[in-house]
Amino acid sequence: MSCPLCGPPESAVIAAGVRAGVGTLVFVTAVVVFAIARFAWRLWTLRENNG
Amino acid sequence: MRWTDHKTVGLQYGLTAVFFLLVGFLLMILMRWQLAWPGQPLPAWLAPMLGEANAPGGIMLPEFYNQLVAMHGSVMVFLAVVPLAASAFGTYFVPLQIGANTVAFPRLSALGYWLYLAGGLVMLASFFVEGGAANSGWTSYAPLAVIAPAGQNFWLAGIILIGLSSTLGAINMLVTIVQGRAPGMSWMKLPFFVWSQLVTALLLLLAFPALQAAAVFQLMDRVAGTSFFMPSGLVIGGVPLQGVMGGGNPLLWQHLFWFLAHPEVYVLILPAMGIVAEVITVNARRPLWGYGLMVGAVLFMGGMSMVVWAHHMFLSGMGTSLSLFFQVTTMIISIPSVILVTSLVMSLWGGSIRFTTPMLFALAFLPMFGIGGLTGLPLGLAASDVALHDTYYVVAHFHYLVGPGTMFALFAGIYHWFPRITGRMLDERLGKVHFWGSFVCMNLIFMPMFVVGLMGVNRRLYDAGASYALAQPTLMWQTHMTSAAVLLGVFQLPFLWNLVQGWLGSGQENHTKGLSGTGLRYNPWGARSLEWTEALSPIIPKSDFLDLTPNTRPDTGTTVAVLGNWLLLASLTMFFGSLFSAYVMLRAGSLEWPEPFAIYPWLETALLLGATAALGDTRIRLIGAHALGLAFVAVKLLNDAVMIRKGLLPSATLQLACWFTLGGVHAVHVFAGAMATGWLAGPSGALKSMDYPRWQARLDATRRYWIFLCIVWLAIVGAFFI
Repeated sequence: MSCPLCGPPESAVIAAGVRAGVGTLVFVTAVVVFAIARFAWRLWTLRENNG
Repeated sequence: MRWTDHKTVGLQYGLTAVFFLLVGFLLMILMRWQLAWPGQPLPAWLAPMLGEANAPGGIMLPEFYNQLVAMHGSVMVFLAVVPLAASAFGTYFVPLQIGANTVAFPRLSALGYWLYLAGGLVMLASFFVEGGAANSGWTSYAPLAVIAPAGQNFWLAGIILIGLSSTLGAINMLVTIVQGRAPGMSWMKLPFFVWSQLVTALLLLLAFPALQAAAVFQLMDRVAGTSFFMPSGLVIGGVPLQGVMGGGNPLLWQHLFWFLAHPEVYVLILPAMGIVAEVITVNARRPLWGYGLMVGAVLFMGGMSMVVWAHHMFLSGMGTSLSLFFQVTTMIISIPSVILVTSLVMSLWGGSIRFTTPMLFALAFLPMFGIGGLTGLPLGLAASDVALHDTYYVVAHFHYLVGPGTMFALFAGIYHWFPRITGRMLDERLGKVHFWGSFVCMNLIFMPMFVVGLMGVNRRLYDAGASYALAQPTLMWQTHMTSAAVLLGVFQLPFLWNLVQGWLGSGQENHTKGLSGTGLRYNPWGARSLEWTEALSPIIPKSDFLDLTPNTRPDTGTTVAVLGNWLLLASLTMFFGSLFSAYVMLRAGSLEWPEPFAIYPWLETALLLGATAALGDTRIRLIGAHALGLAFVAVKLLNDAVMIRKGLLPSATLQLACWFTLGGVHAVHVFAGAMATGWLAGPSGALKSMDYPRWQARLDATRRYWIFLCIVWLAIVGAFFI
């Protein structure tokens, strides 16, 4: 019987695929979030110009 | 009335969401009836409405019960609560609170509403097609959803439309807040409600594209016979599934679905917190405690909510390393939640509290959210989730967050802002009947679910477990819960009557408690934020988007058009990133992957690069870019048709499935770009002579879009051919 958390042992390749896919999704998200954070930082540095 | 006015659109969202709320509620009553009295006929007046196909002899079929489960969740989340929390309140009140005269893109705002309405109606229409509505839960897990009847296609089409609507709404909200703040309305002076809407919009912008990508894949699986989510060797009812190539990964759907659906929880809860913060400060008559801390917490919470999604999947066999990562992030995200609730509670300290109806709902939100949040912790840890997963405990947990949690906050918002919308108060006595009835009934429904769940009863049994020995002691709770649910419906009648009465103008008028000395009719609470005080403060200058649009704001360093354009590209990056992640997951998870199947698509690549290079500010260059873009689409279609004639069908291999889907979706975007370029050359050309900077902004936005499409195309070609 396979472990409910790990899945059956023969699924090592599938698990590797899942890790790669999730890693790609996290990477893309990180890039976009970084770009947004960079813009947010610019907003913060310019905040005194309001008014 | 102007259809693009943000107040009109906000009201449209609100009224439509309340309609869907009633639909979702009625679906729930049908479910609860079945759970309380499984196998017994429905009431004589109700059974004919369901029809003999769904309830022969008045006894509900399990298949129809599954449709109710799926559609109750889908309607409540996608069509009722989120549009009410984010779109209705946000579109109506954010511009007022920041001192803007409208939203950044009024026509897009209206379009967003109509897309949402269309998506909702498409989803509901599925009840009338053969086989009925979607029946695989609101999560639409594959492979179950892939082999479901045609109603699932309607569900998927609805999701794509609602996703488009959410994306447009999110871009609009973000640009409005960043670019539309009145002079002097600096970041740390923004009402907390605006911050909550800002983070909500960011989540919608970044998370919804993943579900749209997943919906495209599932449509391909269902319509074109691909196997993105279909594993090899699938056996249904003891019979091997024929005609499916297999090799796909059901976990792919779960990852993409929860990538949206977990942030969606925060899309529900953050506007709710913003409303509660608003109501508490007004009725406790003191400012928020720890405003800066709350802003930091809501930003941190928004960011973290993007990386907790797989705590819904501990039992999917995704592996212990991923489980560990998502357990840690889930525990971390509980910290800002506690900060927010603590700050709201502390805001009451030393206040002069008025127990008005909105305040009662806002106060009730705090413990209800607390119960929902704290009971989520055991579900966020894999060890305890093994026992609790898929039991009624989970149902109780998330309903405490959405039912007495978010819904109470939304009721608070309706009672609080109704006078601002109509100039009339809602009746306080009816409001209190509504509150106390709802408060008691909500707890009577959901608290016993914890007990039933802890006793191990699975949440998806259509007979509530009547055929299982372990569930026997819990069956009487099911009857009590149904009685409480019916009573909850009865207690919504005073609310609906109150709304109608107040709307038609015969409700209790209360002009005497207006802001001290002002005589302002619609400020009965003595609130101080801009949406209540704008009319009496002519010295407060408003932001006018007509002036702002082409100009760079000194405190943001950007324009409305540029920011909107970049946000669209961010959303598209998430969309294509999700498609690529799927490709990576399938390719890396396959033991063998075929060689490239065709010659390198030189011609398409040249046409696309040519279209991008041709783009310029002369009419001939724009027409050239338009023609080259259309030529790209034509050649792509031709190539795909040739491949299909040669037997290289999307259903043949996972590689071909990815190629046709990624390439097809990209081609749709190229077609949209070509049409936009043609519009610049044609109808929009007149603007060039009248207002060159505005026209130039459109051209720059189009150029960025084309460059983005080139990058995506090169990535697709690179992934498949290099």
